[in-house]
Order: sequence, then structure tokens, then C-alpha cells
Amino acid sequence: MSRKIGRRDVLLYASALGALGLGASAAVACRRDGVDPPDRGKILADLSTVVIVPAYGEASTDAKALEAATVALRDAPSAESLGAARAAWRKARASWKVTDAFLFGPADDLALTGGVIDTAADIAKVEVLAGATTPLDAQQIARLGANQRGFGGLEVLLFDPAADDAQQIVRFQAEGGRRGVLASLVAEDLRGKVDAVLGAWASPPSSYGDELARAGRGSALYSSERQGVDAVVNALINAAEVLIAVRLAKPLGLDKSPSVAAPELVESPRSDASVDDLLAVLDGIEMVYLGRRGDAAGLPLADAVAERSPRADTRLRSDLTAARDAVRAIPAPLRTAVVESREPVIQAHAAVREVKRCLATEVAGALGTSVGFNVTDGD
Amino acid sequence: MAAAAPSSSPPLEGAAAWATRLEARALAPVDAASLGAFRFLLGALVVAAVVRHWAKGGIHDAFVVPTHFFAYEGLELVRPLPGEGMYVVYAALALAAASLALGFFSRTSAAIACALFTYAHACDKSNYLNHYYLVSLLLGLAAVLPLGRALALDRRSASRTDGEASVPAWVLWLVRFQIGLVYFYGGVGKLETDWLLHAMPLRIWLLANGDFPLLGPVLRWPEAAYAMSWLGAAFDLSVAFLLGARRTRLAAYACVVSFHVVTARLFQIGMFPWVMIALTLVFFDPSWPRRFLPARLVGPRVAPAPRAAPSSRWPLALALGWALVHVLVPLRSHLYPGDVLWTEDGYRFSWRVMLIEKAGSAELTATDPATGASREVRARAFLTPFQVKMMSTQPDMIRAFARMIADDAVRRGEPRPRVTADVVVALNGRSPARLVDPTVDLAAEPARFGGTPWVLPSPR
Repeated sequence: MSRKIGRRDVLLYASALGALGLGASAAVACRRDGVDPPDRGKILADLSTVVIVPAYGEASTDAKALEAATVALRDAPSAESLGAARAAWRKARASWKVTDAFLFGPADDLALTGGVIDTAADIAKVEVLAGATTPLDAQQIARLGANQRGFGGLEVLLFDPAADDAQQIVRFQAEGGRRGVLASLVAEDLRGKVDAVLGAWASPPSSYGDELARAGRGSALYSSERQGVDAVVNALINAAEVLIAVRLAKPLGLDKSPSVAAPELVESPRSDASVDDLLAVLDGIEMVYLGRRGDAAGLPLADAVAERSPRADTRLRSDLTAARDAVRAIPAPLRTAVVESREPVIQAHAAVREVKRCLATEVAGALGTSVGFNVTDGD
Repeated sequence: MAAAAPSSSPPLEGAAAWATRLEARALAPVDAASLGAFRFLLGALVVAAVVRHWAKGGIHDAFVVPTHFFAYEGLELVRPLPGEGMYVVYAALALAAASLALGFFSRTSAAIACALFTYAHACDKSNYLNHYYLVSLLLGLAAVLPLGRALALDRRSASRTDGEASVPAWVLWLVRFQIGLVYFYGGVGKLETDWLLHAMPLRIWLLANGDFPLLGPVLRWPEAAYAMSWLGAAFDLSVAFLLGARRTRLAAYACVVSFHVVTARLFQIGMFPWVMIALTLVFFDPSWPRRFLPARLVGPRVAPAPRAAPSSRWPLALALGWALVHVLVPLRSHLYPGDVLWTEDGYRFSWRVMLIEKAGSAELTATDPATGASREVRARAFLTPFQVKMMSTQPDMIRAFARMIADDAVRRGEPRPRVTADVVVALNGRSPARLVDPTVDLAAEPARFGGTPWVLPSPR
């Protein structure tokens, strides 16, 4: 008897639930006006194909150009070839710094960014290497510490605020052109690393870009769209956080009590590209947020934010503009500004902090990428 | 007065008779088979959780990478073992849990597993999870309750069993109560405005689930969030009772399975759904495992005649005390002023789940009280990204972090600084609001269990 009743109850419950579900769906469907929230899967796919992969592509192209320029400098040191190599370095550097805004995935997993591509250089070590007599080859460069190669190492070789161009050219001509050989080998190594990141993002069949684009739709890395969006937003927050705490607060000495400027801690100190570096990262953040790179545009993350919180979208856009304006207002170079013109740098610091705050609170809150149910109630 | 005596006597007698009947029912033997299955599943799930945590690098991330830990108040001495020590702890935990699953020295195994599991999760507040707390409690119960009388290797030793696979009914009731309480208080927590009137934070979370098979597009509609909020609250509030009633049990369990499978897919909440799906089987008839397993494995059926009442009522009294404590502990937040979703005073250990979507940004400043010179403190210099996220929205962790900063300065030979925090938090989709008073020296503030004066009013 009880078994019969149990089955009947099950049928009853199933029917009730089914009816409830159908009713709710019908009611909901009738109420819709045909405007659905932005498809986050498409946002991620567009982000990968419109912004991230092309940005790494450009970084790779520029790294190749830099390698070629250092080879030309090695073969024929002159004011022109040195200028061309420096220009190539600046261009490649700016292209790469944009990618700081999406520092997740291969660049992080392969430990290339912090490890090889973008580490502050140890000037003394690089100069010792340039002045040594040991043979130079690609294998030896690959074994060097991260603070002797990458953009930092190459910057030491190409730029020296304490020497004029003529003195610099002499260095490239001396000792059988060893400095030029070293520069070209470091550039080759750098290009290889950038290519490795690009390859990981773009090479089929299981590229990282494809994994991100298929988040929640068969991706082996991101089992849900939410995880993909989390990765993107957390990378944006981290990029802004690094700008505030490392690129600005440390040179300003805001992390010390009493505050004493530490100009030696600015990024790209010898090329005086520090302000350009800051702007490139802010550009990268904006590219990701707006899903736009040059003339190409995809479905932006901004739409998903605006759908939930128009206020957050408006605020981030204005904060980004304000931050860029504040950074542009820094009288370059940054290494002197942190000592002699601190106020504009402090204002830039405050402006970038607003970007980070907005990302970490309003944007993350609107997208549901903050610490929520997934962390506090599950594992 | 003489006439009043007979009229007051019947209710007292009635109550006494009811209590006697209840006691008799509580002490009556029931088949231990379902509790044997419960014990097996509990142990097996802990083993699975350990393997999963280990394989995903969770032990490394939680204990090896961090340099600072957020201790629970009063448990400041509880720290992770250095080096690879926590791997040893987890390995021992897996062994103890496996032993519990097999019913080999069940109580001892459960006690060891409980101690190790609780220790591991008491090292850092950042890692608090409701279901970890539940697992600790259930392992604790397994350490004192006779769960090794069925489906257990313990049965093979005549010296450790009376040969009958039965337990007093109150043992089964207590386990069911502990699990049912999670759902019930989970439902009680949802009876508030954000959940019911604004469908928050589900509206935010469901928007992120457009990839859900078939239903993805629908889940992104606000109406879906409202429907799921109300259905979720109704489910939580009622499911323990529906599981307890024979007529509705099967249907209720089907709802449990459906609910947890859906939430597992929606929210990536790890082991929690599977823990609940497995452990709620204990609400079924005490003999249910006998339908699927041979008697030699389960143990002899319970004798039909009730046993004589045991000489001591202490176990039953302790069980009632345990139940009372666990009814009261989740209610403690009501003793504190302020909005619990904002202050989080009494939020932990109260089975509030899915109620908060907080996104925060915390900037702390250390100031030399003598010179007034201040410096910004980068949280990442002390904490992992995960710890930073957790700290940035929880007042007690912000205070603890302020003390870490002050202690660190003292360790480096500097004067103990004042540490203030500028923390903005967005709660359930609202505009960000300042969480703590930015003028207060948090490093000098004592730990409080509620009514924290430096937490600013909730934006709700």
C-alpha cells in the first residue's frame, strides 16, 4: 500500500513540478520583450579573437622587428641603427605592455612574463656580461637570469641616460661588436618567448584563446562562462593593482614611512618609457573592457556590466579617462617626476586607484566575479 | 484549592506520559544499516575531498604558499605545520576517513578524522566553508555515536559488538537533525529582503550562467532569478520535513538531487552538492541498504522486540544538549546590532548560504604615531590573492590584517604603527559603500564577537 502511495506521490510531485516549470517558462516567455542580456560566451570569444590574440600577434610582430633592428645594429653600429633599434624597442615594449591587462593563461602559466620577458634588469650584471670575453650564443642567453634578458636586459644595452649617442655607438663597435651580438641574442631570445605566448594563445587545435572562447561550452580550462569572465576581470584588477602599488607607489616611496622617492624603481628607467608603459597598460584595460582594438570591435564586457549596472559602466569609462589624463599629465620622465614633480604623480596614483576600486567593487559586483557563493560555500 | 488540584494534574500527567513515550521511542532500537551506509559515505566523501584537494594543488595553495594566516579568535596558536607537514596531515586524514568508511575502529577513526579535518580548516579563516563545518560536526558525531554496527569491519570482532545491527532511534534522529538543520537555517537565512524582494544575489550569479544547457538564456532573465529565489527558500525551509515524512520522502529526495545537481552546475561549488546528495540518504527507512546489499555485509536485522531501557539516560541527554546548542548557535547573529550580511557578525557557523555577493577593495595605511609619517601597505605583500579577496569584504579579517601589519612593523624594529583601512564594498549589486571607519586604528582594536563599533552602517 505504502509503495503504491509513494509512486503516486512521485507522479504527483513530478507533474506539479513540470506544470510549475512550464507555467513559469510560459509566463516568463510572454513577458519578455525580445531583448536579452549580452551573451557572455560571445563576449569571451570576441575578447579572445578581437583583442587578446591580435594584441599578442602585434607584440610578436614588433618583437621580430626589434630582433631585426638589433641585428642591423650589431652588423653596422651607427646613430641611425641605434636610433632604429631604440625605436623598435619602444614599439615592441608598448605592444607588450598592453598585454599586462590580460596577464592570465600562457604568459602567466609559462612563467614568461615575470620570469623572462618583463623583469627589472640588473644593470651591473648586464654590463658585466657585455664587457666579458666569454663566447656568446643563444644557449648561454637562455640560461641567463631573468634580470639580464627580456625587455629589461635589452633596455640596458640600448639606452644609457648617462652616455650620449656617440659614446653608445663606440660601445657597440668595441670588443668586436660584442654588445651588439649580445643585444641581438637577447632580442632573439625575447622574440622566442613572445612567440611562445602567442603560440599558446593562438595555435590550434587547443589554443588558450580557443579555450577562453569556449568557456562553458566544452572548454577544458573553463568549465563555465563565469570562470572565463572571472579570469578576465581578475586580470584587469591585478593590472590596475600593479600600476598602483608597484609602478607608482614604490617609486613615489608611498610604501615607506617616511616617504622617500625611489626613482631607481621606475619601470623602463633608462629609456624613460615609464609613462608610456603606464599608458599602455591603461590602454590594455580599456581594450579588454570595451572589446575593441583599433578598428576591430566585438561584443564588449562593458555591455554585460551596463546591463546589470549602467552606473558601474559609466564610472569605469570616466575613471579610465581620468586615469589616462592624469598619467599624461606627469611631466616625463617619471624618474625625475617622482622626485621633482611629485604632485602630478600622486594624482595619477590616485586616479589609477579609482580604476582599480571600480573594477574590484562595481564591475566585479555587477558581473558576479567577486568572492561569493562559489568560494564561501563550496570548494 | 482542593478543586484545582485535579484540574492541573492531567496536563502534567499528559506531559509526563508524552515524555515517557518519546523517551521510549528514542531508546527503541532501529536498524543501524542506514547509519552504516551514512558512515561509509561520509568517510568515502572525505577521502574523495582529500584526493581532489591534493590533486588540484589546494594543500599547496592553502598552507604552503601563504605566509600569513587568519586565525580564529581564541585559536591563534593553531597554525599549519611547516614545510610538507600539511601533506602528512591530509594523508593521515585520508587514511582515517578510509578507515571510517570501512568501519574499522569506527569511532577512533572518526575521532582522528575529525581532529585532523577540523585542525586543517581551523588554520585560516579565509578557508571557511559551511560544508567543511558540517563535515567537522558529522565526523564529531561519528566519533561518539555507534555508527559502526552495520556495514563495518568492526562487526567482525565479537568483542566490539553485541552482534545486532541496531542503534537507539535517537542516534538516527540526531544525525538527521544535524543535516536537516543545514537546510532549515539555510532557508531561514533567505527570509530577508535582498533574497525575496530583489532576487539578490541570484540575479547577478544567474546572469553569468548563459552557458547552462538548454536553460541558459532563460536563467539570465530577472524573472528566473525571482522564481529560483522563492523556490530555493521554500526548498530549504521544507525539505528536511518532507524528507522526514514517509509519504513525501522519495519525492523530496528527488528534489534534493535535482536541486544539488543544478546548483553544482550553476555555481561550481565543488563537493558540497555531492555531500548533501549522499548524506541525505540517511532520511530514508533505516533498513534501506538491505535492499541492495547482502545481510552478511550489513549485519543481522534489528530484533523486533524493544530493548530494555538502558541504565543511563546520559547519552540521550547529551544528544538533546547537542541539538539545543546547534539550534541556538546559528541564531547568535540576532543578538548583535547591524546587518549581518554587511557586518558578518555571527555569519559563520550559521548556515547562511548564497546570501552575499560582495566585491571589495581594501587599502590599508600604516602611520607612525610619533611622526605622523604614513605608508601604504600592499596587501599582496602579506597575503595570497585569495586571502586578499576574502579580507577585503570581512571586517574581522580586516582587523586581523591590520594587526598583522602592526606586528610586522614591530618585528622589524619599527614603532608599532596605527593602521587604518579605507575599504569600499559593493553588496549584492549596490553602489560601493565604505565598510569600516577609516579613522580607526584597527590594529589597536580588540577582537569582538559582535557589535563592532568601527563597522559603518549597512547600505541596505
